[in-house]
Amino acid sequence: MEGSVALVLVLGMMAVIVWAPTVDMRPTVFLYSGTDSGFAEMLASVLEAAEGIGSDVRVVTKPDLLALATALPHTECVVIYCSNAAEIGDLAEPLSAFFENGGGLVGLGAVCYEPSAGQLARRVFPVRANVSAQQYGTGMRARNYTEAQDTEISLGLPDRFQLVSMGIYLSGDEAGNYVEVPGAYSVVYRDEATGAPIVLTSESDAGGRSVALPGVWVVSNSRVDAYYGNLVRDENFIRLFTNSVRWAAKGSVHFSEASRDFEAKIEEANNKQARLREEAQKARERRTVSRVLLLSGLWAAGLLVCAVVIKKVVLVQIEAGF
Amino acid sequence: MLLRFDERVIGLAVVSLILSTLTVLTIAREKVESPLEVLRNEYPSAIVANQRATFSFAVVAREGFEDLLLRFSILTQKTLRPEDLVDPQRQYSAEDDPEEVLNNAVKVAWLRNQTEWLGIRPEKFSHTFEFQGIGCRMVLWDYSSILESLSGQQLALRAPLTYGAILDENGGHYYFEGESGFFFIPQKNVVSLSIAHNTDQTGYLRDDEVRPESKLPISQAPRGVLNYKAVKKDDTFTVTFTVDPRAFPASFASTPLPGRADISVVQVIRAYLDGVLLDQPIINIMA
Repeated sequence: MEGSVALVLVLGMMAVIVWAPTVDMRPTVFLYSGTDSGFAEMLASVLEAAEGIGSDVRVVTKPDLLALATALPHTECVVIYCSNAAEIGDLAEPLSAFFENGGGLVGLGAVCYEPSAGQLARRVFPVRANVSAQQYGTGMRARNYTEAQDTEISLGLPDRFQLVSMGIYLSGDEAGNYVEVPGAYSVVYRDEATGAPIVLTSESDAGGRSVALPGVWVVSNSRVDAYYGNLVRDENFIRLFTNSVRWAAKGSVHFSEASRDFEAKIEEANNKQARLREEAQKARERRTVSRVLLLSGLWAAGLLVCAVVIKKVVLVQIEAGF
Repeated sequence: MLLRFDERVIGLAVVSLILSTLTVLTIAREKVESPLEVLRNEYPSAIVANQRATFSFAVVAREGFEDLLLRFSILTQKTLRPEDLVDPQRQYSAEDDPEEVLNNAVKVAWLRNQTEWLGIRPEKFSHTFEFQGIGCRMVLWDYSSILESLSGQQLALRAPLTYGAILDENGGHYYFEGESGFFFIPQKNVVSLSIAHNTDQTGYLRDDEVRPESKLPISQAPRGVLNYKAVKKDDTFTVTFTVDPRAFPASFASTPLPGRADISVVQVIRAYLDGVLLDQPIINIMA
């Protein structure tokens, strides 16, 4: 009977151990599209429906939340679309740090434009755009993408295709002509009209990856041809965008490194204080032992000196008849 | 021959024995009041735009440590818009818990939502003080340390991960946000910074004022976290910096509401000795 109870207890304990909750840290793609989150919501739907992404997808409506996302261990990729400097706010530093520390990013629109994005357009999305070529007039506003090199991002896409757009941000001279700026980047597609990069990739030394799409320039008005709802319905855009996110998210190292042994890291972080305290206690004990030994030695030496003084000075004088 | 001791000799020997024992015991039982003593903690009473101010902080180790970590954080009061609040209608009384102010901020609620399921919890501190004659209770939540260990220090130091809330005796509430660092927007606001361990001093100047032969640029300075190993007794650590505030964080609340204390900036200094926080954080309140 006692044996059965013990067996049940052991089995119960084993069951608790086996069923102990574990943290299933899923990679997350955060999307932000400035003051109008409608575009980000649509891009999120595209990612959720895409094959081979397999990450949680979250839309954030404020730039400061996106800044916080860069500090989270489960952030795999950040997708950002902005149309002006105000929407970018103070994001340049956290996004640059995310890229330089192994994060994946996809940047669309004015995040590639130096006057709006500053260092983002140089360090993260190195289009170094200083001019914008906006399209006016009649007819459908669109950019023609022509393939510059065959990569994972161009997988399943034609050599030449068109996507609706209000224009493109590019590095140019005073007349607005494209001027190539040397840098550590690769051009996947060029804009047919200007020759400027329209899909550009970059990698950081620490394993970060970024894709810049300076030709994605859309509006929220559904009556305009360059309405973002029209863009996200385009099969070529869906493929280009999902390929870009997949390349940046799955090839960058931030999430894979942060998620490796995550539970052990959490435990380590929580136990760090206890471990340091234990080490300090041991060090203190070592110091105490050394101190006691030193003081004991000094005490013994002092007594020895007393004994010598008594014998050589005091006793000698007493024996001499004082 | 049997040696016969004089009684005076025996007395002398006994006195010597007692005195040396007492001396050794006195030395052995030497106790320090605090293992780390704050020698100086100076800061301006108010942060005013385009007006220089100097902060100075110095400590001395009263015993040796394996590891000493000094963490400086700087928080600024923010005005939250209705869309930044979970419940814009929420009112507070003096008896409420200041944590409720934090729980009502969308940003803090979002961060909690993103981290709690992963077992990530902030360090929490409470502080009671009086400022401008008004009694205040403050709470601080800091995600810096835990996210530094999980996402890397370079990422965690560049995001606002420290939050504070104050409820005063009149029911007035104040929301603060900040990050690890000596001062907000250091590259624009810090004029000079000096960090010293004993006589080993490192100086930093604004990036555009650095001369190659002299100091380092502010952009390369530590972001408020100083870590020292194998600290010896009587080692001193000094941090001094001068600011000339030109740029302020977004939503910086610079004008106090009527009947409220004029609190703009809060500096938090923590010392971790061998991983254990020494007492409570040092909290410097500025108008």
